[in-house]
Amino acid sequence: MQRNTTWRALVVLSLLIVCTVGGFGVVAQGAENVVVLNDMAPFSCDPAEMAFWTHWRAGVQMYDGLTYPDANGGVRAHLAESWAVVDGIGKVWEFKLREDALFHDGTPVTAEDVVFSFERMMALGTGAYSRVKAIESVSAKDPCTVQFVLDSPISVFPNMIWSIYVLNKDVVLANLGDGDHGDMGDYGVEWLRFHDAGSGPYSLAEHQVNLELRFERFADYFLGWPEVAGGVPVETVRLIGLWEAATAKNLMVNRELDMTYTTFPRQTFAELDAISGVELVSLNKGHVYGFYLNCQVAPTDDVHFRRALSYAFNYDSLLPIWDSVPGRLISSRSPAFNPDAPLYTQDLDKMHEELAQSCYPQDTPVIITAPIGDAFFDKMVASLAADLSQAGFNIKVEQISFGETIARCSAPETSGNCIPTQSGPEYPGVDNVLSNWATPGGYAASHWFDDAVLHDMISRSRETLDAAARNLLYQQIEAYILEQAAEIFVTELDPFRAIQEYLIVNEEQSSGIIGAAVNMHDVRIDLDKKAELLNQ
Amino acid sequence: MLLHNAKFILKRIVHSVFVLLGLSMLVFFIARMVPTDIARSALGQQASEEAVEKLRDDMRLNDSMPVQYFYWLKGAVRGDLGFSVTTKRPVIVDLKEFLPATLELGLFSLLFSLVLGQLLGVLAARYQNTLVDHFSRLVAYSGTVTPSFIFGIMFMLLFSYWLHIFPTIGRLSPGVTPPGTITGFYIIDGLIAGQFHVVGNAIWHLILPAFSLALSAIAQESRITRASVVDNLRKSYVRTARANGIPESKVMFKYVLKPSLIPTVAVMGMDFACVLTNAFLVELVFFWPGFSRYGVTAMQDGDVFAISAVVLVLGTMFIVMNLLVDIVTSILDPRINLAERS
Repeated sequence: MQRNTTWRALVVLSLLIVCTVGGFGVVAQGAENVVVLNDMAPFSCDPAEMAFWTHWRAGVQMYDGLTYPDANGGVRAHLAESWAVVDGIGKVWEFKLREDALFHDGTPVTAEDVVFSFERMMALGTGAYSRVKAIESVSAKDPCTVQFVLDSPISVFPNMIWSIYVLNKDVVLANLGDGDHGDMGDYGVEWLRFHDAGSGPYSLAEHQVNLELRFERFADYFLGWPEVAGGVPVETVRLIGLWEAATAKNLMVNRELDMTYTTFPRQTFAELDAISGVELVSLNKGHVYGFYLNCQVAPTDDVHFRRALSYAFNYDSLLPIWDSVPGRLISSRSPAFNPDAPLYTQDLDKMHEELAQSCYPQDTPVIITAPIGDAFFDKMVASLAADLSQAGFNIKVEQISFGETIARCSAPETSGNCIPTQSGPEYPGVDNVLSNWATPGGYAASHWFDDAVLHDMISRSRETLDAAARNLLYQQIEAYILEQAAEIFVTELDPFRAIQEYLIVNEEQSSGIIGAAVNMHDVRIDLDKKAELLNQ
Repeated sequence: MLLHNAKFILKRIVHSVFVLLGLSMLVFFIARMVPTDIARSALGQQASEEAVEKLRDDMRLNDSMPVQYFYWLKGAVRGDLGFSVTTKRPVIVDLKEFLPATLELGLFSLLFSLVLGQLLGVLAARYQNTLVDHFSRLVAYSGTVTPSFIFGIMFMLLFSYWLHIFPTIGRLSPGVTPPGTITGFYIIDGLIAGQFHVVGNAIWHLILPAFSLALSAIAQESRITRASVVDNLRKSYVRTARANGIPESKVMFKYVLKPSLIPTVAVMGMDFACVLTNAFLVELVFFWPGFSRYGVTAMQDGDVFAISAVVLVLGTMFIVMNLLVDIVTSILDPRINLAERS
């Protein structure tokens, strides 16, 4: 009996060993034409639910808009080959579609698909709805022409809609679910979360929630796949929802990860850069870091006190550490950039002059409310707190979780006086930065600077069709915000991503706009180099 | 005796329902106490006010807290744990998808802790105050004081980065197709489907995260086993067995180990709970597509229904495991009367 039991145990053990060893042999890694990116995993692939940067990074692989960000801070032709203002003031726009663009099922992209896609966004009200809310009506003038009528003139309308993606109407209509939109049911939301109906360079092959998106190359992409010396187009793209720095480093060393996302601390990027065969690529984005000064609570509700704080900060202390340029509202890469903008520098005499005009004494408590754990913010907060304390201010630092910071910044009374912030453009042009900046409310604009003069200036910029005149207006707006000292602009930083050297990224093409910066159509892979690195 | 034990188990189940009810209430209210606009956070700053208001209505966020709780509980009793604003699907669907991965990991690490903890404990007792005992103590101390995710990172560096003998992340290698879902446990499903290479690949992927999770339990169980074995080795029946010339291995495994298992088994329920809570970070490190990683995402995104479900499931598992431990203990030692113990 005991012998039988022993034999059975041995058989089971042998079986386990055999299959385990067999499984150990299954190593998929090789010089395969696969590129793995890490990011936060998006949970929905429906363009109407794309509300955060992680979504846009996935969206740009599957879908196309009418326009596309160029490297000069504007937009270029994409699904639309041209566009024009019809009424002369920017309220009525017409877009002429190119005729060779195909959806992934091989059917052509038509004006009807564009109309359907925009009407769908407007009806659902989710995702990037704020960019289409000014549209009064959208109609197809002919199979290749779409007309938009806006409720007010918007000079940057083509910029705003670059990531309002065009869907294959027939495919969506064939997959409608139950919903609140009459004949349209749920407008295909349920289905589009896990499938694509786009014309982009890649089609969605698999969506594992909270884990991975897998895309396969669309050979008939309307922009083609131009040859690049030494590289071939990437056939499979895997976007994995991994954000743990130590794991990412390990994967980069083992060549199991090909491109990292951007929000690791600089220290992590330095370590990634030290890995043989890995290099850092700048995203050419113009990410601006600063501190909002809450304009609705004491003592920062007084402009002189805000200016005094602005003069007390040593702007030069952090720039050498980050090898970066001074921060300002308008990025140094924007055509509207003003090198002579009246930026603040540390000047204690001017600080005292401003304090003399302020209704608050210098020792009035100033609260810095900051989310803990972000390497950039931690350094900024430490630096600001030290400079202000040294200058004689009464500083209290509250470093709390990101969630609590969001909650606290939902009202001016609980936001604190100084709140660290960073902003990057979602569509090309200064308008995006300005419209985000000038809409007080929530963490993203917790300066609570609600000012009629500013709103008026922004409205005028939106009505100005001439780009040069508009850029001048932007510079005036920037000067006004600096004068009002509603933000201490610290620095402009380029986010990095670490990539394997066998990837060839067309950086000239990259605009740095969120989403477009990781369009895998701009990337090629050198398979020989990959094989060489894997064999090392 | 059997009837007494059955009564006790029934009583414990009834008690557990009340414990879970209290837990659900606590979690539900705490998750909603954060002064943030849940619907706005879910849809983003650019969504229309109408869309946000509709989501508030759908989630009953405009109702009072007790009313919200009532509807949530009503749904939970029917198996509807609400809708996840992050994954955009019912929480119960998420649980069905993610829970098996965590349970497979947890049970595998429990297996590690049981085998290695006992082995180390017995060896340490058998060779008291020798190098083996000192090594066991070292393992126990380091296992107790070091968080599991640190072990995870260290093992990843050692076995994946330097030695290249274990994979870094995931449940299966890229290119290995998961077996059809029957239980959600890749090992079991692979065995049922006869896909032994999948079973092997799944085990290969399980070893590092499971061992990282198991170390604290190994530490605890080895020390308890050691103490218990040392105690039992001094008992007169062991002396008698040895005096009768029974081989030492038989004395150890037949007469000493079985009674020595009782205190170890008693802490296993707690160990399993520890494994599940430690899994929150270990799953992040190993990119393990499990329930704990889902919980972390839910917390980051303020996904209140998902958070409530995660805590409720953890609480349920904790209660069930402790009940099972009580039953197993009574089987190991028939003298134990659960009803009296309670």
